[in-house]
Amino acid sequence: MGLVLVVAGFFAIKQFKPAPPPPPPPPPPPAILLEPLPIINEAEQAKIVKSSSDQDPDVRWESLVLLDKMKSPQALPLLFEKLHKDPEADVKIKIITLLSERSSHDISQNLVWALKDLEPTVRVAALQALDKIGDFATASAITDTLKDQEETVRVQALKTLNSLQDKKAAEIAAAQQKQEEERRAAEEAARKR
Amino acid sequence: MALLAASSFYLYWTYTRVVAPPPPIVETVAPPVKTASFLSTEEIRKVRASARSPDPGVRWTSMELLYTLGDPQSLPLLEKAVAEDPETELRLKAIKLLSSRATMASLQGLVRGLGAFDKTVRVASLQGLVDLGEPAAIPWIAETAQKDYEPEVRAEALRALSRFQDKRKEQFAALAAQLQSQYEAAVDKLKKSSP
Repeated sequence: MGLVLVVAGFFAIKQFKPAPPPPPPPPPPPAILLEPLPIINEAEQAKIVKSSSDQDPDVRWESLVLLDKMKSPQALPLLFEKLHKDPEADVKIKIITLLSERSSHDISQNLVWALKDLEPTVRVAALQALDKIGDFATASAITDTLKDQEETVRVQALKTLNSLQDKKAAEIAAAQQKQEEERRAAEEAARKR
Repeated sequence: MALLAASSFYLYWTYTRVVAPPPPIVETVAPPVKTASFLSTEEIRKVRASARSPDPGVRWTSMELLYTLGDPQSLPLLEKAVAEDPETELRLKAIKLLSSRATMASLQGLVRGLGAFDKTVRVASLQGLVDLGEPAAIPWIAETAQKDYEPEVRAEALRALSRFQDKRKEQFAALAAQLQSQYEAAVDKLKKSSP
């Protein structure tokens, strides 16, 4: 009888004993934000930088693409330099297309500079890139190209301005809707209290 | 009483024991089956001799046959064809064949093609090295990008390096995703096993 009581008591204590707190979860791993290393060392990369001044435009372009893919610190400065100085319009247009995939103040400024290029095809490409990036601060520079002597440039400038206007209106509408939703949520919370 | 004690002890043991997880299932892969050559040694010797025939069609057919049979002489013959064969078309075919199998001998043959006199052979060798996907070729490609006298070949070498960089980026992203999912699986398992 005593043994039964002991065993029953043991199980009763186990049942009503507070459970130990669960172990804390392990910390999450640091986000893998690193980029893969370049496939060639710095000495070889310096030679690729020299190739960006090659006589052949294809070689110049491919060297810029490679430096950009390797995330070389010289990639962006070289792209800007070639955008200003490369003798081939095709290379400049390709650089503009590459730059339009990303957005930053420097890129917008250099594209605005390209609006004054001697080649109309380069100016049109710069306008298209500014449309894609959607930086509203460039609107006044784009407006200046409405006086361009080439009709294709003037037409593209109008298209770009219209597109930026639409984007701005959409942004404002989205901000207003978000404000409205927050106001309703705050009212709802106040009513429940 | 004894029976009661024994049953109580059994209940206690069953309630508190930790069951080890079952061992993981190991998948076995069947070993590759090697097919035996249908030609005798003498016949293979004759085919090898045909690889030196003055007729380019005969030379190519014999090299292709030796490659299919897995003859150890096939890769050196193809390598030599890439570097020295007088027919450009045959050299290009040899490059295509070498780039289909990733071995050091293939790599060697394709690298030799980077020094060929004909620029189409050099361009094809670069494309073959990219298809092979062996990073050991990168230094030679980088050298071609600097020193080749044809701009078309230099541009192709730079494109080849870009494709190697893209492959590295893809592999890196796949590894990062794998590590992330392994970590999440381990955290889930820990949550489920904790009381």
